Amino acid sequence: MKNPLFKPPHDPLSAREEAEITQELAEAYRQNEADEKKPAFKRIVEKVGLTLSTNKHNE
Amino acid sequence: MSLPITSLSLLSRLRDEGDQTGWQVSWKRFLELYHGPLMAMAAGIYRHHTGNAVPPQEAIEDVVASVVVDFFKRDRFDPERGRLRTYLRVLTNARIVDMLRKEKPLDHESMTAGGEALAESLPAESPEEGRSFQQALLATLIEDLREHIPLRQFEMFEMVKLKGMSTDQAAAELGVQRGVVDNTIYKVMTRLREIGASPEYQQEYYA
Repeated sequence: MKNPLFKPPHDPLSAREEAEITQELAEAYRQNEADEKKPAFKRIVEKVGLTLSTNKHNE
Repeated sequence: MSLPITSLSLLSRLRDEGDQTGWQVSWKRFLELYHGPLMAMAAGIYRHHTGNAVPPQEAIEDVVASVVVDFFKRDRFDPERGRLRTYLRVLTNARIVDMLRKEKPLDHESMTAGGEALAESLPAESPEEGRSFQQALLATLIEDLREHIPLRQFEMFEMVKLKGMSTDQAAAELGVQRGVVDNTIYKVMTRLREIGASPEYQQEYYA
């Protein structure tokens, strides 16, 4: 499915396309902010941080 | 016009050396942007290899953490050779297969494939995974934009386009005329589309 956001920049956007882009951007922004607050995300950050710092210490 | 380096290409050039602080920030930011699609990817691949068994949450989190570590330690992703999502799927599949092989033989009986075929068998991308990846890509694009325009311009864009404020509300809050906000939003949207037109975004967004 073609997303108007990725149309060539010189192609003008219709009002409908502009609204569609705005909605998708806002949704991605909200989702990203919500995901960062989830406990699963925090647990994964801890695991990655622990593994990387252990690897670094062992080198 | 040549565009500055974007988050996507920056990710491919990160090294496990040099500026340690910058590297730490990078893997955390990468995880913020991509842990959603990685979780969906890991769950889908787990179901594929186990005949649709429910993926254990802790195991999926372990797999995602391993994939992120692999991604930053290996540093082998090259956008000119393939898509980021494909590279991440191959890494995720390898970690899932490793995990299943370490489980008890009884659990292996429920797998839909065995031996080497298991490692090579990569399921098709699920609609949930595709949608989640596209959202992560849009969030990456917003991140790129933030790095390439003045903070004041990004604030106006964020208020109106990302947080849903009216142009009048944003103008009042920032103490500027409505026309200034309108003009800035137009310029920022043009810049956003310029960044989105880069080949790396095009190849990642479209299958």
